[in-house]
Amino acid sequence: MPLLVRLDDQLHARRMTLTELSDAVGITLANLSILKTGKAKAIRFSTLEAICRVLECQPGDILAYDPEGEAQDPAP
Amino acid sequence: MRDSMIGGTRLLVQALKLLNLLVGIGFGITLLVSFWEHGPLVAQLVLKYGAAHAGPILTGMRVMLAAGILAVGVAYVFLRLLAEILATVAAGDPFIAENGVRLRRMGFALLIYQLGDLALGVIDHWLDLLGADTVPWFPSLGGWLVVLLLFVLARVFAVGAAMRDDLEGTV
Repeated sequence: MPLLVRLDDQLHARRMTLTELSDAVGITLANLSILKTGKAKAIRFSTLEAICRVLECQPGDILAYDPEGEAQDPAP
Repeated sequence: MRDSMIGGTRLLVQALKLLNLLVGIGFGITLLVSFWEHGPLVAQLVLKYGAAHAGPILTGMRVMLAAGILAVGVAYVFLRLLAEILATVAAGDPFIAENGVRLRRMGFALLIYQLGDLALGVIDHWLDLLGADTVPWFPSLGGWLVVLLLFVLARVFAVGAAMRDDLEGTV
């Protein structure tokens, strides 16, 4: 899928862990992990809104479109 | 409570499968006996209905027995599919596409059964015209409604399973 999830970059920029983000947005760590590793099939607006609110960023900072891109490599 | 209900229903379906098998064996044995004991049977029918009607009535009886054996086969398919659906309910995951396929197959099985029932009604009426003692036949309206219900449920399951599949990857 040519859609890239750049949640890791945003977390790193804010020195925040996935667990802290999970607590802050009220979304389970498992679901955030699915999103982060690019395994999600879809994302709710409410999820995106909560992440953007906590990370103080725009949806475009988290999602990117790369027409040449293939399936994302799952993060370790 | 709910688990015991499902468990009880599964046992009931297993019992019905066994009963269905026994009925099928009964039909088969009766059909075979009607050929082995052809002479005495014809003699008895001639005595009761007259020589002109004995032959056609015996044929009608045999056709009904053969149809009964076919109905047992259809009922077996129906009960097996129901048992498979119940197994998924017991496992806690019934909303899967396979159950939609099973319900559609159950619908077709019951449709064949209902069409056979209509044919039996015709034979029953024909035997009645010959003066044979028959059990009054009435079309099973409930059965036709269940056929429709099964096809609708099959569609509901197929769509529901597809929607759940979509939701599974949604965060």
